[in-house]
Amino acid sequence: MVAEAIATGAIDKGLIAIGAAIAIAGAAIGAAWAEKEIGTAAVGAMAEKPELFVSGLILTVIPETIVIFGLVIAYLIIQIA
Amino acid sequence: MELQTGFLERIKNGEKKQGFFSKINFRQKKTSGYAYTNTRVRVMKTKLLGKNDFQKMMNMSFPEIARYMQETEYNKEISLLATSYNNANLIEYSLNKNLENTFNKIIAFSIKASEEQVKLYLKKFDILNIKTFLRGNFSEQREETIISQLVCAGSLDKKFFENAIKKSSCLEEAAMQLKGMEYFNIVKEFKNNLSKMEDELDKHYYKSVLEKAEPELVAFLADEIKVKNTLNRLRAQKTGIKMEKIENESAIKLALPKTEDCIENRVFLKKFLLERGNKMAREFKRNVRPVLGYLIAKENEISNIRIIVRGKSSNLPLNLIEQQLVM
Repeated sequence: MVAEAIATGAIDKGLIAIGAAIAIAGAAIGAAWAEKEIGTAAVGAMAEKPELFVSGLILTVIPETIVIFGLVIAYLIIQIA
Repeated sequence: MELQTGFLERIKNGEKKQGFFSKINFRQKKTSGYAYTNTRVRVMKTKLLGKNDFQKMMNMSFPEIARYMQETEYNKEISLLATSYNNANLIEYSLNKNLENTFNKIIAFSIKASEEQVKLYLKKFDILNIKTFLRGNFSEQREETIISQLVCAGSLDKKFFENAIKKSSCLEEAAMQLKGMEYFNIVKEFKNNLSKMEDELDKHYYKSVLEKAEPELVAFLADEIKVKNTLNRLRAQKTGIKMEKIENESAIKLALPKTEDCIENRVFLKKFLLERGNKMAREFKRNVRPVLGYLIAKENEISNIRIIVRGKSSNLPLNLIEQQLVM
């Protein structure tokens, strides 16, 4: 059964998909953790100075770029298959 | 189902969760929320009055100072008290009220770990209020006068002191109002010697807080004790009083500038504490240090305004007032 899977290339594709999933999941978890920290700090700052809303919002979404990097890496991994 | 019931019962009985999950909860309790509390406090610190504001205030009359303060964080308190007081008293009582409101606000928005340490530090206002209450009672001051001097930022609220003042006509009765509190034995023992009682209350504050405080607060309180001891030593030297020998004296002594001037030394020591506070407020760590840094800076701001107002009401020369400001 294992030999058949290798012959058809099913395992290789599966492993590639898992690799891509790890790339995007790791990036997403990292971004979420960073956004949580920045978001709470931004809300704290905004509670005292509402005019900091725009800069707080921009700083909060900056870690989203990490997810884009993860997406790009995941896409490149999938291209291998 | 059985598992769920057992779990709920364990929670009801206050049992702690075992194993891996208990570790996760422990980390969450200790760390999450510091970003909110510390950043909010750091923003509050940017709104504190600076050197320029104090210099402007020194050249103003009392109504002008009150008007100037209305444009800052003191707006609410000045507006509230403007109908009852005027001139130096209005500013003085607004400062007390603002300090109380600010510290209560910090307790309200702090996360639990910070809140506990802040409450411990603010116990000093309980001690201060008890001293004011007893001194006020001893000198037969009116209820309103005593109440307006209180800063209810500690665990004892205004209602407690209002009731206590109403129920006590002499010092003995005033001392009895503190029955059941940790301060009662000290007050009862030294009720015939108010200054000794005040010293013992201060010592009790430091002892009780140092027992429960976390290392960050302990380090700051150690500095505060150093400053107080050095100031007391200087005052004793100036007045020719002999002080008891303190064990390990070099550890609690601070290096002072080579001057005999009492004001210069006092400002130097206060500046030392303020700089410690500023350094603490700039730290990006998951602990209570930024909040403590803010508390010190806020107390210093209040003290500076008080020096200006009281200096002006006593007609002191401006250069002497400026010399006493800690900036």
